[in-house]
Amino acid sequence: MQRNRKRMWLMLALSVMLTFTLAACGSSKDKETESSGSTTDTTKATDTDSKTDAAKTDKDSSTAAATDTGIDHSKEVKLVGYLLGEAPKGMPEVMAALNEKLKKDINATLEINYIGWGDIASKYPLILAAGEDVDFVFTADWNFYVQEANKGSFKEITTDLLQKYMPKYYEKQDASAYKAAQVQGKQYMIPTTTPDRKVNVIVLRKDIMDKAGLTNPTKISELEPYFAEIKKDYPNMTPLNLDSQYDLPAPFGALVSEKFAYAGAPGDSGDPSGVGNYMDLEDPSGKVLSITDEPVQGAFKYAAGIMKQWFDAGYVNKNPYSNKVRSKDNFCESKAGVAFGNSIDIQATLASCKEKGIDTYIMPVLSPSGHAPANSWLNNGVAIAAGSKNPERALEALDLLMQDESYVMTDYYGIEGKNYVLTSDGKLGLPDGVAAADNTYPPDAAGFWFVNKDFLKPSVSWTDSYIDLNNKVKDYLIQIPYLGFSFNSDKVKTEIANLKNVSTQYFLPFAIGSVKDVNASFDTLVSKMQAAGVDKVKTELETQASAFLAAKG
Amino acid sequence: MKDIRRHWVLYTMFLPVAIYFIVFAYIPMAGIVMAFESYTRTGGMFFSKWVGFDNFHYFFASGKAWLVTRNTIVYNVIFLGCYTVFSIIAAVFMSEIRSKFFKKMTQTLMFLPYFISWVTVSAFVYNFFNYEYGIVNKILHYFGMEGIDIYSNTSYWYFLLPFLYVWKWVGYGSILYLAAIVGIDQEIYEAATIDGASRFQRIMRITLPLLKPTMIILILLGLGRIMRGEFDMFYQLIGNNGLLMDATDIIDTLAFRSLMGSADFGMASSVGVYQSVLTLIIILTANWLVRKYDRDHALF
Amino acid sequence: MSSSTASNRKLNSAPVFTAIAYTVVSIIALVCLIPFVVLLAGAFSSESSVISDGYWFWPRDFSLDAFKFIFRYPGDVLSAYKVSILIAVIGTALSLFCSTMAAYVLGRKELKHRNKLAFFLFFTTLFSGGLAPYYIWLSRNLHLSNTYAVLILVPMFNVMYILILRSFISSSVPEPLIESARIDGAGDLRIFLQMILPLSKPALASIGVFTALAYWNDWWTAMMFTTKDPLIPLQYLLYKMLSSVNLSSAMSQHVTNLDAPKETFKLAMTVIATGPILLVFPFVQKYFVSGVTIGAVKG
Repeated sequence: MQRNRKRMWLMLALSVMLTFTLAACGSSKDKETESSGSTTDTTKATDTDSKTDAAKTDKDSSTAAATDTGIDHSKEVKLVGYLLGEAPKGMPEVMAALNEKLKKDINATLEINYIGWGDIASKYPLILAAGEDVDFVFTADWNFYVQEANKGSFKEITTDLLQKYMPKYYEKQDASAYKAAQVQGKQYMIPTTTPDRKVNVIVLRKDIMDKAGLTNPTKISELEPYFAEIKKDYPNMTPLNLDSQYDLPAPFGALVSEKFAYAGAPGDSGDPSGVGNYMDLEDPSGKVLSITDEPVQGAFKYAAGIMKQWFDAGYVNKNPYSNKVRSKDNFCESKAGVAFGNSIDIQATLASCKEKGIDTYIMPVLSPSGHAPANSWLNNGVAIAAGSKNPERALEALDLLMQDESYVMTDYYGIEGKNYVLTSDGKLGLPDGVAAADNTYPPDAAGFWFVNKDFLKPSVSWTDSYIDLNNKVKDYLIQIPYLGFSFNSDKVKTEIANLKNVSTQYFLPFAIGSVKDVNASFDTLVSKMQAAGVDKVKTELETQASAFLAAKG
Repeated sequence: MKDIRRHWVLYTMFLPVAIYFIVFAYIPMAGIVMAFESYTRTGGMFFSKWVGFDNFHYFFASGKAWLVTRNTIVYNVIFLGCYTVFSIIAAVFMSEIRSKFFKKMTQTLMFLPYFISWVTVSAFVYNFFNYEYGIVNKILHYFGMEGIDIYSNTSYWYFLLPFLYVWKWVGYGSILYLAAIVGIDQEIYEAATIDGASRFQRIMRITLPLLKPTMIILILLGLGRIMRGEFDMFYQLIGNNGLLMDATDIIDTLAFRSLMGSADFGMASSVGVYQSVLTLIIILTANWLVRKYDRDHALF
Repeated sequence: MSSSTASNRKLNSAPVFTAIAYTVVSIIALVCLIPFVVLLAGAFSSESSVISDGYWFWPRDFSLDAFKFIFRYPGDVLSAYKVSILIAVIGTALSLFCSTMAAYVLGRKELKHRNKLAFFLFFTTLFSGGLAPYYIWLSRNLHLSNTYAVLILVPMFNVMYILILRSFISSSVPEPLIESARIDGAGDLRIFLQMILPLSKPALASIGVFTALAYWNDWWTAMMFTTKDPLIPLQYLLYKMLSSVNLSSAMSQHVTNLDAPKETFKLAMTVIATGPILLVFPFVQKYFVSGVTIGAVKG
């Protein structure tokens, strides 16, 4: 009797659960047909708009079809990709245009979903873990590539696959990019063929420079008179008005760079060079340095000493940890004396200052030899999810999205005549009557950062100083021995977690100069790092680093 | 079983909620095993490599485990105390106010901070108190006084954090207590008034004693969150400020800083398990104490 | 105002006490109001004035930029309002009914297992499997992604509210009343529907407000479980806008949103999300500022 009751109980619970699930299934199916219905509607609507486009691309796709290597496209597939950021307003139209082409070329349609900037840490690993409805996903060394590869979230990419399904890409890519993308001997990422070219910069105001009698400074340590002038004559401006995220270690990093080729990774990135293990990036032997080794110790104390002087003189804002406005965002508002950024993201600041009539001076942050390290291929890339049901077709689609000019123009800039126009001198402009803020598909905003950027065009809105800087950047960049090296922290997870903590609590105050005594706080930092296991990380880093260099040959 | 058969109507009335919690809480709860595993996709939730307590190691090796546990408990006890006292004061006084318009008005106003997110609060605090051009320091300078720098001095935060907490939640709490007061049968008050009780006496003899069950339950429920702490508040207001950290680091902020960017399911859930176990011990003790003295008002 | 409260006033008016009550309540209310005024002023200021001069009690450079920015695509905002209202109304009604029913059951002394049931609920607030199992279970096994159901179900019950309701019910509905109803032949369901629900109006109103607010403020569920635009509730829409103005500008190579309001956006966002609630609030409020007389239901 009792057993019977129990079974009934269970049945009841199960049936309710089932109705729950079924109800959910039903409604989700409804949703799908509904939404697909609406996309076909938009396709129809844009059909006439993009007829000229379609006619133009017809030619491209027919040549693509001709070179087809006998891959079976008979079954139509739907691919789902995840990118970072936010779908621009004009996304449905662009997707319709892309899908029209994809359908014709490889009999596939594409759906792109986005993971918002603020949600990456929580959502990205989960989508891959649940991973049924995902074929490809954006990945990068700064975005969980190594961690997820360790977990087995991605499909392995082999040279054969690339040759067969991504011929255009394979032809273009540098072989060492594949090496760089390896995690425990296997490649999981399709890295970009065109890594960003950027260098960190410091922007100054010309008018204040003149008052301070400063001409063409090249190092941050020469800026003392500039800061003094601000302190004297501009009561509402803070010379170094640092924010909590980006700017905080920037002046310190720039000062250290005067002594050796230093790239300070953010302390919370889990990169060992963020805390406790450093490299002279231009040293061909690639020796791993502890904080107590030279030139690190000397350079750190030099930089911290200057920062302390500046902090005590009131050149640095006292509460950078709680300031969330970046110096580059209030530089033109006369709140910050210098703006920190890189040669790509500083663009908006320069344009805004120009509008306000403020003349700017751009100073790149370079190593003692006058160089900056080239960016790694792994900065932008894409991976195939382990749960993908159509990995081959996804690769083919990516080959087109990344390396076919007509696709790249569409996924990166939108629809010609609606989102962009090309001027006679080959520059990118906006159609008449469209302001930058109203553009429904702003360049770069859709998250296709892994495309072949050689197809991209300069914009008509770029200021002269920016174009000038961009041209110079190429000369600053050099290939460093560790280009493409990424640390696998799987074996030292505990130590890395604790080092991140130490960095926040002891390194950051040291770096902004708010400590009482540079030497004493340096010693505290060293002892805390040792307690957190920095030496174990060093051993692991050395092993991986020498393996990397050996593989590179 | 007999009990269920006899009161099957009551048990059926409980069923919807029970099913919900089975489906949305108990089934996913099985995932707790992940705290003891090194998750891989192929292994999945239940067959990944078993690593025992390795995922907990970082927390205890940080050398701050005791400090943050203590901070979490101390802050939460202070918060809970202040919140309870102020909510009751606000609710009792409000119930004694006759003007309905005034009552409604002030209640709405008290509720406003609930809507202001901690991000915005932190921007306000920064604007009020930052050293260079904060409003407070401008005023102090105007009177020829030395400016204060709250971001490098822990002592201000012992006051500021509870203040902000109460400020944000007093509207919420007072609504609960007011609802309890209003739920008291008006006839009891009328009887007391006829017996000649003054308003103060009515509060002391009727309102407060009748609020006791609500108070006990709210405090017990508050204790159920004692190891969690208001992460957003601490993270937004203090952020990565190393100078304040020893005084303001709680379990959640420490875990967040340590694990940022690591995407490790096991390590992420290990601290949760630690918090849950401690809370379970605390709450069982508290509930046991309440049962001992006042059987009717225990949580379970 | 009923005649009995009017006679109260005559019987023992205590001017000092009244003055204290008004003062204390006013002070607390003012402390809560002032930051909101600053927020409102900021929301109506230009971005550059907020960045260069900080916050103030009135807009120093009046501007609607932040609101214009949010309403760039009014259709999206309206659809988001619609979704939010829909899930808040349906969800609150379902949740309140089931919660109160469960709370009533938990308070019945004749149930031997009531404490076990309470513990069964409470335990879920202490232990959870964490985000990953929850997400995988809901999206892969229950297929709840991209449905209205998920937006309603995830924030549906709060154990705390069920337990608070239990204590409200037991303190505001006297046991003899239930006993007498039972003697009259009323079943548990009828007692619940005809006696408990009307008598716990203040509690229902306050818990209802909190439940509705939980729905209204919930962007997390939408963030985790939806990818389709028609399913986006207001708070998630605002949240998405905020994170995109804040972070995409750091990534972007091109001048996209040169003057996108960031600081003022945060403030305007609060205003837009709070507005409707403040309009509805007074209507619910009457239930928990005016009392209940049991005699009214009994008779």
